[in-house]
Amino acid sequence: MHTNMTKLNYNLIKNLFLVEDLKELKSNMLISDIQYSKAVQDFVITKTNTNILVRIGFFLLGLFLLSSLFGILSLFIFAGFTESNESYKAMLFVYAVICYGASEIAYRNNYFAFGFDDSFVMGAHLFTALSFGIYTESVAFGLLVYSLSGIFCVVRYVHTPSVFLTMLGVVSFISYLVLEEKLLNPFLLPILLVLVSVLFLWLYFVFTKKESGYLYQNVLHVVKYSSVLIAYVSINYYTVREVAISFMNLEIKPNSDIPFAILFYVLTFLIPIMIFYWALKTKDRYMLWISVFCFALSVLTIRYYYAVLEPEYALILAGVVLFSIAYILIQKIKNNRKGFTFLPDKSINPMTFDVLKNILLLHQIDTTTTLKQESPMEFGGGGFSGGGSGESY
Amino acid sequence: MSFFKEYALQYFVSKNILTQKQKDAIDGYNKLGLFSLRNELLFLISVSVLFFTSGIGVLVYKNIDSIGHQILLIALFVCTVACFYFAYKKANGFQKEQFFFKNPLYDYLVTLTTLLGCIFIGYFQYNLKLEYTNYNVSSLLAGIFSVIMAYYFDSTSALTVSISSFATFVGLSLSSYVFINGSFTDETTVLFSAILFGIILLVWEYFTVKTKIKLHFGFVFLMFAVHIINVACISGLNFDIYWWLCCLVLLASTYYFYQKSFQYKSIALYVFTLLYGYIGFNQILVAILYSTDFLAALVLYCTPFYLLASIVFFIKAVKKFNAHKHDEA
Repeated sequence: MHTNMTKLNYNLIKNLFLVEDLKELKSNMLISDIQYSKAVQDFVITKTNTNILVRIGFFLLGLFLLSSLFGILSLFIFAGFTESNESYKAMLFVYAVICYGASEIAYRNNYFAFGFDDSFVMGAHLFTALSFGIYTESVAFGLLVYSLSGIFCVVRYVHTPSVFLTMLGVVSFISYLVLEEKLLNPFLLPILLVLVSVLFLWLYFVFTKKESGYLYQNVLHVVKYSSVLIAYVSINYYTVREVAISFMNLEIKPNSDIPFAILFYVLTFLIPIMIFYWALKTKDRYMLWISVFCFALSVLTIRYYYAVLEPEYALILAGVVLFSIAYILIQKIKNNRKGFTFLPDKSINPMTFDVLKNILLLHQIDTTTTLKQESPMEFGGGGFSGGGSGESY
Repeated sequence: MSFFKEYALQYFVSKNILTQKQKDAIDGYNKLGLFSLRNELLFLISVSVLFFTSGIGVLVYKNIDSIGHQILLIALFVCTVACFYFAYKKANGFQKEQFFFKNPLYDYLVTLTTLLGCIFIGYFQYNLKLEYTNYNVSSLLAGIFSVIMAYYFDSTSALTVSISSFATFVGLSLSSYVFINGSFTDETTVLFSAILFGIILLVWEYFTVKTKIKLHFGFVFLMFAVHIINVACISGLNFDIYWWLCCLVLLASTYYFYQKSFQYKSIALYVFTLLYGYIGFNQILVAILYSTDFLAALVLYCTPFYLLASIVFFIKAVKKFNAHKHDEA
């Protein structure tokens, strides 16, 4: 009974991905609308929220539910045990069990990526790790349990956000062992983390060639993107330098630099370029964004230590350079009818980009003139603080 | 092509969803290796426009009262006029419906012109030290300038700029920080002017639909209005005197936007309407429960069930919306 049930659930998730593939074929006009709607009728799929806003809303509701439930439990049930100081340890175990139960109920009822199931699953491995960590009073053990329970959640619930958290757990576990427990020379940490991300990438390559991987395709994509990000962040000059200062008591005098500085400078720029090349070769859109994002971070890293230009000139220069690059590229691919093109991609919703652009614009123009009379002119002056709030659309 | 895509195609063929002929056609299509960089490149251009205008803004601001300032202002004016001229030459005059430039780059030229024009208006006024200097005037002028740009060149970016300039004129900051903090200020006048401004936007939307001039702008007004009115009402609920008024407005606005979201088939509008309504409802509920000598413990015991009920309610609500959207389509 149990295995049948699981199989059924996995089939529904698989159907969801199959329907998404069909949808892509439809939006590329490779199959007709009629054929699509006829085919979709035969697929029973999970209850899923494709809209990210709705999903975030349900995620928050799930968090509220969990926190109110735990609050009451702590107040009225565990408050009775305060005689012994050990009760709070048992409490966390109970919370973890409740989270697993809730995830299991959501999963059995075919809720997949709906929103509240995300909060249950994340809560499950968070509380497992906390309870074990506090019980053994060891951070390293807690982080280890966090990673292991994360892996369990990924495999059992096909939970995509968990895989990112799991990888963060693994990285924190290794970093903790190296930096706090001094198992290794801290200077080897960046290299070790790069090796770890290469290991993750190897896992990705192994499983993308298996039929059973179809169910886990989103998980695998996240593995790929996060391992690239981990590799970049661990080798970035800023992190290496700041980690060296905080954990190795390294003092950097004005005219000196960290050991092997040149290596890290080069890698800070080489890795984004390598990612960029790989993205273009495999035609992977998200990888392309990651590479550009990493490159921007690299530029900011250098600016952080060697700010040669005043910000306003840097902004103007960056604007002109970015515009020229984009303009030249557009001219170059304008007439392509295969490979890289400037034709609209029918399978992507163009609204997303429009919304993003307008949010950035709204964030940028700080029109607080009448409220702050002492600093009257702020058009265009607002500091560029990235990541728009996303509230306005 | 990736292994998974190939697997899916094979699966479809084996289930007779696709014919072998279609699969061959799809393979042929995939061999082209089409990879559209359109959105990415255009996004890069809009980022470059923002960088450039911010840089110019800071540059002029830092050089106020220096000799170079006049030259800078003149250069700014020349730049604005030149950009305007190029955009003007490409546009085919005012049109009632949505239209697109043949070359999407001109959209960004319009954005650039709008931003440069706004900077110019702001600094021009400062520089001349007009009598009765009131910075309201400059934001009003900037708003009017960008609304003309928006309607003439059909640019939603310019419309965004104009709405937030008008909002500044009315006396509130529309910067996204405000939304994060969840409140404008404690002052009653600001809140009521915010609500009034939101209602003006709704009226604007009404006439947009009625006259059918730039019909696609209607949604932008709605999206601004939903945030402005509801955030104002929710912060107004804490007032001692006027809270019942805010309560009524919140109720009315929730109903109005609920209807509108079905009309526009916009899930984003629907979600935000429900969210604000839910927050407001909870705030009132808690206030009522604590104003009477209700047993706090009992209320606490009930919260998980209440939240469970809300989850069920929202699942039903989203389902209803999707069913409606499906029926219409």
